[in-house]
Amino acid sequence: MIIDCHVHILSADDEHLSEILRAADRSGVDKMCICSLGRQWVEFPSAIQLEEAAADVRAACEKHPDRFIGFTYVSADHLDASMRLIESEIASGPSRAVKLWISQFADDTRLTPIVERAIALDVPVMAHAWMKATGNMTKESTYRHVANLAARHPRLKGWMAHYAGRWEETARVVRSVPNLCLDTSGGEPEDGIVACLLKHLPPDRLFFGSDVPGRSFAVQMSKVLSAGLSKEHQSMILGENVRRWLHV
Amino acid sequence: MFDINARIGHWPYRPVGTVDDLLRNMDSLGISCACVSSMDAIHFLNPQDGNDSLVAAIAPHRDRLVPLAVVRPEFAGWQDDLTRCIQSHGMRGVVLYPNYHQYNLEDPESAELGARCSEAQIPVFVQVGLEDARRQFGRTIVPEVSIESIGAFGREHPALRLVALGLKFGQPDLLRQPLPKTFYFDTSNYERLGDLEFAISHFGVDRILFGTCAPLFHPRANADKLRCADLTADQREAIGQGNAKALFGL
Repeated sequence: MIIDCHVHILSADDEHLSEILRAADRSGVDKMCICSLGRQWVEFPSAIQLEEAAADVRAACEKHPDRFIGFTYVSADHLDASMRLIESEIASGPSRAVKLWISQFADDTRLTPIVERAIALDVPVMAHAWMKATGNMTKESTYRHVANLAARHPRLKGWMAHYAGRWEETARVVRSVPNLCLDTSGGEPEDGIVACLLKHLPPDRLFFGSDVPGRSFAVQMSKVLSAGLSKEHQSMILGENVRRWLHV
Repeated sequence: MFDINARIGHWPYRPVGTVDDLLRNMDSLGISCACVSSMDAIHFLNPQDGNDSLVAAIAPHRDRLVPLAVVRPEFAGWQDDLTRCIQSHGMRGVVLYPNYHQYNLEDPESAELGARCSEAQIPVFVQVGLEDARRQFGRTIVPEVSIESIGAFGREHPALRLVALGLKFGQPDLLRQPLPKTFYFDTSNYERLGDLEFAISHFGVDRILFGTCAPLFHPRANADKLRCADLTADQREAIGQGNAKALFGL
């Protein structure tokens, strides 16, 4: 089974969801982990925008429960609302992970209650990360912020999105943090990414992701398919690892 | 398939595949021919050194690899290099890197190059960018070529077959209209959900060429992009190779 662990929905509109599903079908993607960053992507969302994002993910999962696995977007800036969403959407709802984006660094200690609840629920915390030569956004995490988070909470299922962009360096930084996995989503399909990551990390710590709709399923999957992997390792990265982590 | 955007040579910032790797990937992906230019020529002070060594490197593979010349029109003597590349090396087109070589397509030298290539009836390829700026070596971030300047260059030389390489999703709109009928762009970095379907509906299938940006990108990325897109067989054939063959009069 191929699971794309990093897909964004922009709304729960049928036309939008159908476009994603049709493209997934053509690329052989069976299931997708979806999150919403709100209907307008802003660095610092309001509590209402977090709730709107959660409602869209829930609606999409209810429409296509066999295809979508929900992730719940939260922010340290709205701790009460975030904790309520974790209860309604994860503890009592269909979502299977917590999503952090760029409204706080991933090692912000205000996140501690969120992280502790995620550990108790046995769900991962996926944190966006990039290391940009052009400069990160105000509160955009690098690999070090996410590694700090996972190291501080060794029982957390930590998840760094986009291999933080700088794949040549990220795996070296996180290899000593065994509770932290990376996803392969986003960025250009440079040759050698997955092979480089696997020089430093075992194959059970990588997840295939695309970052659709900003990227495409087929192009992003090619990072894994072009890496010269054994069938076993390919299958792990394309879906088995994330399926096991999410218990789906 | 016919890949119109591949290179051979070294890249200063990371290891990349060799000509043998390129050929092996072409075999496994069903790519019969590829246009190749010298990647060394991007960073050599005199790109002609890269053009000359490219021809030697691909000599056993001229049945599959179509050489293109890298020309730097503000470098003294480029006109002689261009003649040598076409007449002696049998190169079939010219690749320009205005950003790496620090000139503008609006410059008089660029206009002269456009006129010469129009007269010689060889296509010109303008590479918009080669690396995501976020991923570049911090000391030497190279900006993208102005998209508007590529469109203007095409309008200035309406008889020229002009190809923009590495346009990202949304960037073809910045070329502005009207675009000459002989204006094309490649698939190599054009990526988003529904990318090719959108491009065909907005710009016409005849303008789109299959390109991989190998060896910086693995060619599988664009082979799978084309394979998985929601296209008719005719559209896939046109993008995959028909348009490229028409471009070179093959």
